[in-house]
Amino acid sequence: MLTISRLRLASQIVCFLLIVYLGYLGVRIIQWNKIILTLPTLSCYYTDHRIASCFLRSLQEALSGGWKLGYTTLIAPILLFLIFGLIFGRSWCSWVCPLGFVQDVFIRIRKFLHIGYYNLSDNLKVVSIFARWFFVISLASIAIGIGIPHFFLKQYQYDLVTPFCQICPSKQIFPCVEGRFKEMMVVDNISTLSTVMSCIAIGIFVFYLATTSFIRRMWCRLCPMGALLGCLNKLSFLSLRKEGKRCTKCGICERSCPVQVKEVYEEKEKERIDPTDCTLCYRCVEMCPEKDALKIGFFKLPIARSKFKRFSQASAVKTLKTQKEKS
Amino acid sequence: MITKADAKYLPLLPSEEKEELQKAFKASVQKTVAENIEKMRKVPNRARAMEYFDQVSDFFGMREKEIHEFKVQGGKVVGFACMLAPVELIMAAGAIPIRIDSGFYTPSKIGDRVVPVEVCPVIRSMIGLTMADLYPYLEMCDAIISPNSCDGKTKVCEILGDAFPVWEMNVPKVKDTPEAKAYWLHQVKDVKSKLEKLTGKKITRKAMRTAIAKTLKATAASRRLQDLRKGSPAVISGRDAMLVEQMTFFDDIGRWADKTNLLCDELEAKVREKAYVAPQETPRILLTGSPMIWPDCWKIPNLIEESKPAGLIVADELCSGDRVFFDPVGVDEGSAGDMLKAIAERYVLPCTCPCFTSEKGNQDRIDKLQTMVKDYKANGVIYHVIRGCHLYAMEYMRLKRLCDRENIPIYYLDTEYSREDSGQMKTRIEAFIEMLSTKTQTDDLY
Repeated sequence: MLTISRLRLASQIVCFLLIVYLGYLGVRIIQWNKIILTLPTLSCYYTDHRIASCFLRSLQEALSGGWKLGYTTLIAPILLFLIFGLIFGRSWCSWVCPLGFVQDVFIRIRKFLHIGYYNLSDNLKVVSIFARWFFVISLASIAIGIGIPHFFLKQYQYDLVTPFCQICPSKQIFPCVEGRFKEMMVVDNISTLSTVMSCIAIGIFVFYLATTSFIRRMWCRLCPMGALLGCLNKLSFLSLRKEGKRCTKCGICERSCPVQVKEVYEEKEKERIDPTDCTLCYRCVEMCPEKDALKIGFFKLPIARSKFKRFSQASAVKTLKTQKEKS
Repeated sequence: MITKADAKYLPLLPSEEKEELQKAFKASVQKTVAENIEKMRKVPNRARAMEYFDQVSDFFGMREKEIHEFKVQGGKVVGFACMLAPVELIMAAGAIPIRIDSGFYTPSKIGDRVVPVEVCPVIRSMIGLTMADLYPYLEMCDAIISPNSCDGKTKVCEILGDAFPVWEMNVPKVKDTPEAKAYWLHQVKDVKSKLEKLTGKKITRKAMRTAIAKTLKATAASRRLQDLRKGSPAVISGRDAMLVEQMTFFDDIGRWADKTNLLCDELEAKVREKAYVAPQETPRILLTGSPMIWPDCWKIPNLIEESKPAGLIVADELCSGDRVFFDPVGVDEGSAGDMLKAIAERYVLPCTCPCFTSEKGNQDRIDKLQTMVKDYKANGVIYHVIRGCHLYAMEYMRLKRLCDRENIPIYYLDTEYSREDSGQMKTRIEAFIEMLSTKTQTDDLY
């Protein structure tokens, strides 16, 4: 049966293989007239054979290049980011992102072992929003600071280069995926600042490992890329639509949402619900038992609608076979 | 059974009186059941698969024997007084769930000795049944789960406590705040541990899983039947469909789903053969309001479908009908905690009972009725209120104002279990249906 979550898993596996391993087949970074393909996902710089660049990496490099060198190279990545973000919204996080796939692998292992999960309280959810914007602001300001000539940050440029990439959990994970286990959890001794940075990186990585399977998609709630993409969620062509009158408020969508989005459950008036937290994984659409209550929309065109049959295929407990099906 | 003379509410009846009452009750119930089925058989092109449900509908028939045998072998039977009780947990504990809401008229008169006549007849009837040990299913209950949903149910659990161990479940009146959800989950966990104690069997993850799979099958069957009723002209009469839904009260859920699927297969064949039960122009009626419970509450459906011109009940929004197995248990992950949460939320969150309220009022019910009118292409709504059912009566005006705005005819029908008012009911229903049929004809013209 082709359910939405199976389709998503297939897409994640394919994208993971493409982004991480396609380089081994001789494909180099895809570029056109010196414009490098930058994806709004954590397609990490530290994979040797990557085919596309991570938007955050390009952004930091361009900003720290300074006014003359860097800012002209800013146009292409930002344009690509806007185009990709406007078409697909935050669905990059749950359908493409390699780090998201790693999280889902952990979650699937936990599910397989029938272990429960924890939910973030409302206060912690607010904290996570602050954390993600803290990452965005600090990465941008440090990168800009490095770019300004004679500014004090300039002297730390070799320690602080691409500051977010140094603390991102991808840096620890992707070398492992390529077999370079020695690069995981390394403390740099070059200078005090680089030691501090690598300690922060290890701290974040340990936090990632500890929380990722017990709090569903914890990293997605902290990710600065998610924060930026989330702004485009309300405008994107791909969207989550709801027919409020058909909703019985059974609460299944809220319970099955991996990032604990409440609006899907609460909204009854507005047709379009795309909160900034939503990663458009469409688990709610396949779990909704009411016909046509939730829809995946591309512009106003519904791609898939919720229905009872889809629900019974997606539910973790399968419907008992009827007499007819048995015989 | 009441054993002590100093019980809180219920008096101890002398055994001769009890015997007499039991005999009279059995005879009258069997007569009413037979009469009702006779009336339902008169509908043209009635499905053959309905035979099974006719059989089960006899309270003193094969199902009673089955449960009796189950009890002799040491099985436990758990009754529940309201659809908010978690049936899956009862099944997972290996007990038979039986809904004990009563639709009998004669016991309601016995109940008058304990509570005033103004009280809803469902409650009075349940009290009467308990006083004289009339109802075989109620007698077999080892415990009763009583969610404190409406006014009547809140007190009846106290009164039935004289004869049975009653486990109350405290229903939060505002259902979708995080506190209310946590509170209700706690109630469900409480019932779970009580069930484990009663049956001596632990409710494991696997047991819950099987029970949920079983009710999901019933939900699928029930929804299939409801989808078939959306078609016009109809292939099943409203009374037949209501009877089918109502047999979930005491039938084995798995077998019920199989039989309902068989019925649906036959109905699908009827759609192809164009063997309809009523002509196209019959006004389609949506029933809502207080529960209509087999057999004595069949008065109103009988009148609707037998009046001249006749109406056709296409759907109902009753807690004794389509709503029982409408909402599925949606399990996101298969862990025990998640399943328990799914079971708990299934009973309270989508429930449209007017015992719930919020700042927007019972908006879910209004929305549901609006979409139901559209989906089932209903021409009119009959709002059934049994005397004493204040919550439904008080919510009528909100629905009426909405229906007036949307130009949907709605009719308020207040009645009782007794048959004294059937003449008056007949006139009122006939007038409403006649109005509907002229309205549909004129609507067709323009």
